[in-house]
Amino acid sequence: MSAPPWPPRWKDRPPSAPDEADAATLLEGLRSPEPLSPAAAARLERHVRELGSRRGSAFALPRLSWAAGSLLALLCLGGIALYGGEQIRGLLGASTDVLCGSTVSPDSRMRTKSLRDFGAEQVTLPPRHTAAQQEADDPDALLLLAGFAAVCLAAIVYLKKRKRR
Amino acid sequence: METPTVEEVYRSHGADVARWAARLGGPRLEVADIVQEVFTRVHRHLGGYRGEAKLSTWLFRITQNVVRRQRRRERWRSLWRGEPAEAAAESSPEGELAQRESRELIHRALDRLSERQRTALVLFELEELPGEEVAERMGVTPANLWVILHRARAALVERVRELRAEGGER
Repeated sequence: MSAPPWPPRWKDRPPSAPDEADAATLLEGLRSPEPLSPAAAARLERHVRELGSRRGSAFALPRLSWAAGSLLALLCLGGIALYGGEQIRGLLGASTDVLCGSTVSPDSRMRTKSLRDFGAEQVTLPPRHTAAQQEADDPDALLLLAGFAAVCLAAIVYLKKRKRR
Repeated sequence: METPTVEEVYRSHGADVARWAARLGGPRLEVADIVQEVFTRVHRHLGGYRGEAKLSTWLFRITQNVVRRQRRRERWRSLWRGEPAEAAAESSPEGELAQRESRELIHRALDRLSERQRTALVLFELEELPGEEVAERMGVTPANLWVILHRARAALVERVRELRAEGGER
């Protein structure tokens, strides 16, 4: 089915009803918009010239959609919450221990000795962090943290760079 | 087809973009800011422009998107600042006052229309584009545009009437 013929423009055939004629006259007032101020026009010229000179820049960033950006941010936050959180908990735990005076050193023998000093029977506490374990854990955790920090930094640099464009 | 540079596009269509921005955006939005944002986007996407759509159609779509975004931002900003969503007419010398008030009124009336209705009116009545081209720019069928246009006119008349009544009450 074809569309009916286009209605005549208000300008060509002004409506007869008073309300319609009023609206048509008012709309007609927008036909000649206020020109840009010379300062604004100069600013635009400068901006476009700058854009033109940026053509072929060596550091061209790929466009990141909002969805991809949000996903990246979620991954970063998730990662930090999972691994960083673990690390923070570990650090907090260690500092609490230090404050309570139970572990000054991660060496379990020293802990047993200090208990004995207080008259306790020989108690062997399971070592929380043996030196070997710490050595095995720390590099991984540090690497992960460094990785996430790098991703976050890259995301921040990307967003800043994009905003500046 | 050789892709034009952003400077060439600005020289050939800069004035059109400014005019569309003023008509679609109204007095609350800074035309120069819209044009600047449009050409930033043009620069970013010009490499991907294959010439399938007319350059003016492509530019109009970008302008429309930028205006839509700025309007949304402006609405949030005025909500945040606790200002009324529609600006009151600024005081100005006597001679310009009536004209300024009329502009203000029609902009406010257009503001109260849906985006599709506003775009249809601007393109058909002010830009005087043929109906088929308006439909193409808006991405609707001619039959659909016909309905939108009809409703847009009725809605504009109604909004103007409301605003006149509100003005009379004040």
